[in-house]
Amino acid sequence: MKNIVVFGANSEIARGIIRIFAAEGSRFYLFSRDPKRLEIFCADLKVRFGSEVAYSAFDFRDINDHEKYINEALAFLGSIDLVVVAHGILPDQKEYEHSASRILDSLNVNLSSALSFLTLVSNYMEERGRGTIVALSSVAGERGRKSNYVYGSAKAALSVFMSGLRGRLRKSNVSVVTVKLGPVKTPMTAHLEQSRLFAEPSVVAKDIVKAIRAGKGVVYIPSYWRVIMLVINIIPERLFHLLKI
Amino acid sequence: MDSYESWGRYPKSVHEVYSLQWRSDPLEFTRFGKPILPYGQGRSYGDACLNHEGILIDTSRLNHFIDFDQEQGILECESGVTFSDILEFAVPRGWFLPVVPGTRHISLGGAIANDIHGKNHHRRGSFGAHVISFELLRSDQEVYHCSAVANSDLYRATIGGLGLTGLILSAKFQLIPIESAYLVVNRKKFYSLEEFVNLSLQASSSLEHLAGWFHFSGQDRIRGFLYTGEHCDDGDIVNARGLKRFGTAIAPPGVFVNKFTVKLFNEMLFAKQIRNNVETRQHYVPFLFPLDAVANWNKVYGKNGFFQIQCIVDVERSLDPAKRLLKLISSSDLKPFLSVMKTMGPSNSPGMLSFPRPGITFAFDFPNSGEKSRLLVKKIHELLMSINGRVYPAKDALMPPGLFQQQYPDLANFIEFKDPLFSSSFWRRMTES
Repeated sequence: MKNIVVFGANSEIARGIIRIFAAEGSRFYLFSRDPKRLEIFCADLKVRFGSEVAYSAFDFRDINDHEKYINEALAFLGSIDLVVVAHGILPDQKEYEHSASRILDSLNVNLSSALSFLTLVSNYMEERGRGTIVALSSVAGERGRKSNYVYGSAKAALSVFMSGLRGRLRKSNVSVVTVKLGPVKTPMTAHLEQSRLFAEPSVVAKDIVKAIRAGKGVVYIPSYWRVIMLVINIIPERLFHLLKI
Repeated sequence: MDSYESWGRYPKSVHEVYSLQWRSDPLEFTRFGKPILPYGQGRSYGDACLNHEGILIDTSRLNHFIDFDQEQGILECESGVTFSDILEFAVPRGWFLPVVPGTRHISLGGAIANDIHGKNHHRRGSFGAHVISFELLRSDQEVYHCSAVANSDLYRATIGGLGLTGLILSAKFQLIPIESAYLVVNRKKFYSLEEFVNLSLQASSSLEHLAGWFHFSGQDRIRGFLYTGEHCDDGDIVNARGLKRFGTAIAPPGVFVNKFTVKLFNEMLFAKQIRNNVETRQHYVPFLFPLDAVANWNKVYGKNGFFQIQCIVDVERSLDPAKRLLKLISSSDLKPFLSVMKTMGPSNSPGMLSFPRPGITFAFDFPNSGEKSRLLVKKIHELLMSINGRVYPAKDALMPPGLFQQQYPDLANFIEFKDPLFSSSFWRRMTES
């Protein structure tokens, strides 16, 4: 992969992916909200890998600015081969579930901004006739759990959107990869009780890169989540809500 | 219980852990309401990296490089970066860390806080002497830029300051040029302390690395090998991928260490390497970090952990004090699993509480077998007190406060620069009893 754009580049999983491609001499344009963190990370890429990298920091909720920022990235890189949509927040379900405005705000971050980025870059790649688009979705988007449905519904919509996009771009030689992640040990989940099912971010990043290279459509990472979700998805709705999940 | 323990797995302690993700993130020390201690890789053996019932600031995510001057060999990176990361980066570029300890899995912050030394102390001194500057975040929320000229007192207090002067966010340090990732290594047998000292003296004028491994072969008798190493100049700088072949094994945890296995282990090592004065070419990883080949070697001692004692004994006038120490250990029926020694060079460290100084340094591992091993350690400490021996805080869990105060005369000066909200289990043990 030569020229790479990443949304949510400061996330631990995104950084893992970027470092793998950086070691191969990829060029980057990175987006995130916190400019200081981006600066620290970009300096690290330049020193360690001699990467050619630039960044912009902005609030992804400002959807009107999306096109401008993507054009900035395009101007810097010349062309875009890979886009990774990796940003997201994990809303505290209990805190959000009684507030419509907070739920909508979390959807703006986790869903609307992602759909906006995906639409803009898919138009670009369709026209160009090649490229790869990756979005980090979640197994939480497969069934609505009482403990996590605010987050889950955003990821459910994201997965469906990606699926449709894959169908649309199939003939345009654009690869669309939906990564369905299980829980990962990152700052986003640090406050949760960690079980053995929590994966290491560096391992997850490696698996994602593997899926990108293989041109996968939908990939569960770690892979055992495919089996777990197979079982979870056949539990009847009434029984499902009796479970403590 | 959490997984934040020291390498010797003794003493056991509980902590509240806060993981700092980015050095730009705000961190208000005052909100914790408990004593604070930075925690890197937990490779200190005793309680210098522990803060029982206090706060540990995990710095392992501060793993970013900041700047590198290829011409001058000056590297700046965050304090959570490990020596392993640094070597993987620097070696293919023709540079090497000026000083490394026996493991590469330590953090840069820990290297400064313990002012670590290595097999080349006779030539390069301690790591602190190669630190150009660092950024120190203190509980007054100020970031202090410290160097030999700026905030020089804080600079001197922080090098070897056991993490008690604040949180090191990043540091800039000098590397040394190399022309190969390989060393010419040699081992020579010795059968007495005198012989070891003579061999060391001969080697120290021309060779970069030297250290002795030995065991007690009978009443008052020791024997071992002096290992020496000098960087090759064959231009064979292996790229980072080459390191992968030095895999790590996982040792079976448990109580495999007893009197008989210790003897067997040491006899086998000696027998295996029975050839004397053999020169070979060896990659820096197995030569400098032999124990890294077993990822969790500290767990072979079982859940009670082990004690390591490292001390420096002055030998300028006579070898007698060092001999008394060896005699004390050889007359005990607790035999150390590993014993190493090295002749130290002149002290060049700016650190107030820096451990290295001229003399011979000895390090011994004892399994923690309860009262018996504590008693032996106590006797060793009593002897050190009378022969003016200095104990290394990074490897200590049992030193009496009196010995610390006697051997670190700059302590009173240091206290002025200690951060009032920072503390550690080691510090409380040394100052509050």
